[in-house]
Amino acid sequence: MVKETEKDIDFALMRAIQKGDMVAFNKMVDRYKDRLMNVIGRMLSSTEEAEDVIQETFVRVYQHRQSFNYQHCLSTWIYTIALNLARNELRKRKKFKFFEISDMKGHENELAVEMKIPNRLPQVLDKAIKELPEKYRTAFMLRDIQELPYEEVSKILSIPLGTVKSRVNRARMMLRNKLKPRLEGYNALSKSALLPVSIL
Amino acid sequence: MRCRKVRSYLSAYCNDELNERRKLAISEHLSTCASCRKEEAMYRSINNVRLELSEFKVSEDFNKILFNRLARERFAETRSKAYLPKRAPLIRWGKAIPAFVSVCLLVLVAISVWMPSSKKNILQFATNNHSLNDSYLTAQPVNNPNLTVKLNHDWSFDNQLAKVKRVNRITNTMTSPGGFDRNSYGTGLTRVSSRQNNFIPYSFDYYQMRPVIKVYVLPTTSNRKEAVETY
Repeated sequence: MVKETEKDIDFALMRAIQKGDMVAFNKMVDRYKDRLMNVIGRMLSSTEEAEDVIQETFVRVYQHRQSFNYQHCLSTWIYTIALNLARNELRKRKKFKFFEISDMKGHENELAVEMKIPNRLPQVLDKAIKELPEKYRTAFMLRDIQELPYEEVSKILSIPLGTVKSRVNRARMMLRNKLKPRLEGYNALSKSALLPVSIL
Repeated sequence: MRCRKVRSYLSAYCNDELNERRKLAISEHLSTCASCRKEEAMYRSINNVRLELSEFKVSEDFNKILFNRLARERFAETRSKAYLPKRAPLIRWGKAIPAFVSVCLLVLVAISVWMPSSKKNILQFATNNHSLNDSYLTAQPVNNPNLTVKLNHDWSFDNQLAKVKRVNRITNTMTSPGGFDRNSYGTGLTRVSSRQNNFIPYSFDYYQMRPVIKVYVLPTTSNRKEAVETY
């Protein structure tokens, strides 16, 4: 029921946008910019690049507003555009290797992550997500971080439902394997209750 | 259910994505298997950590930058060809093509009208049914343009031969040591002398002669109609 209303809001906004209402477009941007940032930001790792991709996504949405198909969700359309652009960006990056300054300075970033004690485990998870192969990472992010239904993920990625399920499952297992040593300590410590969980 | 199978479903079980029957089977297994319970705890803690993941946020001026960019796009859109009045085309093909075709047809008609006469000429020439003026091949007057009318005279071989004979006779008479018979000609031109250069030696016109050779091919069975003349 909640999803239905979300869809209705999206469609109402889209109809207004198609009539040239820029206020509606602004509302739509506000609804989606952070959701997209959570996915694209984790895919591209650089915030500036991710923002560029999201900007381009909204520009494309505006340019092709008349060709929106009301048979699908607006979110599906927007995520598809954004992910395609992000994939193009990743492909470009493969072609021309970019070196970040942090890479040259001898992994100081990592050291800083290690030193940040309060958010340690989430940051380790974040890093583990970034290290996942792209197809598993995308499926995992859309399903577990964006909490989209499997059907929508399958539409966004244009792959069968079963494939989405297996990819998400595989991604979860990979993460579990990566985080196993830390999680064992986390569980042990939280059970013994010697330290508050927030310190871990 | 065996541990291996249970573990393949564990992540879905922790995210509450399984149907009731499978959920029940797994929870039964978990109540008896400690290692699988450990695994389950791991997945649950991953889920907990996932909720604590830092949110990525776009920068404050994201909307401002986006709308500036969109304004540029819209401006470019209004400047695009779709918004400009259509310019009259240089060539209207709808009219130019029929005009070109009709001109071509006219030219064709003109050629077909003119063709028969030229074709006739060519055919005439080919079949030798023509009267070529070949007088230039025979005797030509030198430095005496008034005599050109004589070109229409009888230039038959016999006549030419007679003329040549006559001239030869006169020349022989003139150059012979005996000279002219004063009485028979009565012109007093008995001698050709280099000292009397400007004197015209005789009263008729002075001709330079060229031989005319005509080869007649006898009509055979194959070319009975065309007698080929070769000069």
